[in-house]
Amino acid sequence: MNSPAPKATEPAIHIEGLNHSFGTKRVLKGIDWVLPTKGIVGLVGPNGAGKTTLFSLIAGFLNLQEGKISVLGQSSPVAPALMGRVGVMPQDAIFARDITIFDQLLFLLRLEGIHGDEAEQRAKTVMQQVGLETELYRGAAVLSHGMGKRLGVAQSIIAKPEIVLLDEPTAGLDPANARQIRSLMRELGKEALVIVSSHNLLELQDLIDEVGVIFDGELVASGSVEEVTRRERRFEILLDTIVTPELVVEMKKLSQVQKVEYEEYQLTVDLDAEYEGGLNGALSQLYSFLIQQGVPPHEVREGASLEQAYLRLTGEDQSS
Amino acid sequence: MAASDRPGGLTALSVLNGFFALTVGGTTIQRFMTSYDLMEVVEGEFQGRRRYRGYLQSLLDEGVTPWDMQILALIGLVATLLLSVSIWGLLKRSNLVGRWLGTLGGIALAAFYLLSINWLPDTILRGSGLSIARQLFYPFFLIFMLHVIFRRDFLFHPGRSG
Amino acid sequence: MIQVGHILIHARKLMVHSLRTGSGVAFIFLTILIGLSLASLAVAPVELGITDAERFRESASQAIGIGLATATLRLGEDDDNLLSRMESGDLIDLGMWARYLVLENPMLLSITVLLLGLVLPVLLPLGSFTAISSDVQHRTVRYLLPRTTRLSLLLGRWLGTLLLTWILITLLLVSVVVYLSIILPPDSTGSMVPWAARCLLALCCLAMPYVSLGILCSATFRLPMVALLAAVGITVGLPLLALSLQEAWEPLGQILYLLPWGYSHELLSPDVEKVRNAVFYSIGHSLLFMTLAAWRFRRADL
Repeated sequence: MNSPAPKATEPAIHIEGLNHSFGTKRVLKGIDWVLPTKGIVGLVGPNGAGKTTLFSLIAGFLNLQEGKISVLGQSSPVAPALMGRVGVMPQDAIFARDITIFDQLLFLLRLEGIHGDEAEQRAKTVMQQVGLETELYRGAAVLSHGMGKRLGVAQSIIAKPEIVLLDEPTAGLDPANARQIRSLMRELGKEALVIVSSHNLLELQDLIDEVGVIFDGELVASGSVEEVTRRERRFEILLDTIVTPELVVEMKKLSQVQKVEYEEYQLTVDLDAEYEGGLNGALSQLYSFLIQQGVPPHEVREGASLEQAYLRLTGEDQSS
Repeated sequence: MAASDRPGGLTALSVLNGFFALTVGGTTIQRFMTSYDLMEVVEGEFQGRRRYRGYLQSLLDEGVTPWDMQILALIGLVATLLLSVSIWGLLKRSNLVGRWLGTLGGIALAAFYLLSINWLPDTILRGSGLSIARQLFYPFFLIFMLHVIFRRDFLFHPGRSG
Repeated sequence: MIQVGHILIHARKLMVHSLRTGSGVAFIFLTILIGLSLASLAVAPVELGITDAERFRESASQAIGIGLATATLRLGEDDDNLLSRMESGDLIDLGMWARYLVLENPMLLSITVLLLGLVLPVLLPLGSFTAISSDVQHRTVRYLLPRTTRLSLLLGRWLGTLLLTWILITLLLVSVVVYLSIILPPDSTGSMVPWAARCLLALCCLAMPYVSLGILCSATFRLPMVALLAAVGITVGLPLLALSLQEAWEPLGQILYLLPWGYSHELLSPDVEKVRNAVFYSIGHSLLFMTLAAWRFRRADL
């Protein structure tokens, strides 16, 4: 709306000492998190970890019990000056069934101070962006689960907010629609801060700039994807010969190797990023070891490891 | 997908259309029967109960003709048919069958009650005046709803017919 | 923070939305149907010639007197004696009041409005029970909260419900007045219009606290049906409770004043002072209910 944007150095969201309980159950425990003004931030964690509660507190759906959340320089997430500057796609909200989607979007735009032709144009454009242009004059009751998700995304970005909160926006979408939403998020991330929660870590890895891992109500890791995954360097090594168990046993003895998995011609190795020789040193020593064993690597690929980091941080990694 | 995105108000209107179709349908049958009985009284062939004959005679004395009754019955029949057919149209959000036949049904219903007030003597209407006012409220309400509140639903409904 | 523009947008949306929902259409139709039926109840005995106007006026005066005595908790133990008490010094004000309604003003309109005053409080929750609770139940409110303040939303929904109710009451009263003007001798029509205006103001004042109570229930309970039951239960239960408690210990009967039941009839009093007080009480009750609703809604996790 009319309030000034925060200074470039000011974070878009600053969370400090956030605690929250439902009855006697503590669902958030001392969350501290600072989020930048632009880019895409992923919020990951197992079911019931507190992601939606954190979203709801930032969006002002829940009342703050303990701690502080400042949003775009405002000391409260429900400050009137924030109205219209934060777009939210809640996980389980549904549109009214007795009014057409078009009229509901126009109503939301009217609350943002956008009327007439401009509002109509925006409603049509945003529905096109999420691939729902044919449903504009229908009631929300006919939408499938995936279409409802896309409509949720559409309403959250319709007024071009400075912060967009998307709670599992691609859950239940088919691959084509999920890709459409991802590319929309990339576009949004250039101009605004997009916070997205998802269980699809492979999807997030390619999408996000920063990540926060929440587990049992605590923010167990946060920062750039690079920072969070630094300790989990996974490499896939393809060999010309079949891997033998003896080779694996020998490899596990190497101090820079944390974990080895294998199948036929492929080794999957997790290296310790804090190895004294650094990651490059650890990798070159592994090369030397394999050549020494008479199995020179045919190809080495740096594998995805957000999932690995997540599993380690949440204690769900049973394989190591 | 969910079954329908029809607004609850349209469903309620279709139920009310059914209710009023039944009400006016019942009165229509009554008017038809009265018109034939009046004809028989005029022609001196009426064989019914004496008290009912007296009532019919009083209608004739007040200037009601069998034709008046038949015209009223005919308008009532049209209203009944239009309102009944429009139930389907409202449920399907058909612009022609729902909105326009519903509108014509409303006009016929209003005409039926207005002409009843105008043509029929107090002996028939006494005590039921406010119930006629109640019935008169509905056609205007129906027309307002179809052309103001639900206009877009009929015009832009993707599966519309007509 | 109150945003006047947003309040008007919410009010307009509520009015249009109410007309599009099944419950909204049912509310409108039932209010008109029941309202006209009550009017019919008042008019029919005279119109059908079951009784003549003078006799009807007399018995209506007595019935209204008893009604007023009940409403003001002055029924006493000996009901048979009530009429003579009304004529003597004890309840003379009630007797005069009843005569004011049936002798000095159009009787049929007075009776219709008194009957409406009894029934409207029970009907009005039908128009307000979904105002907030439906959006909270379906979490639709989460689409609104990033765009509007909770107070604006609450006040907008209240205003929309109130305006819709006032429009309905006006429609209802206009129908009754037009009808009475047709069936009554033309010379009585002139006195009908100012009295009808007074009755309209009285009913609009009466509607305000009951609509506010409906909104309070809607903002308090997440399930619309629970909100409806609570609003109707409180409205109907309180006078019954007051009457039975009064029998146990007289001062307890004063709980009747927790709702407008205790003073709403005074909106049609011949005493201007009483009318003014009743209007203030109505506004006060509405303010109280809306303050409670705002307090509850502001603290609610949505």
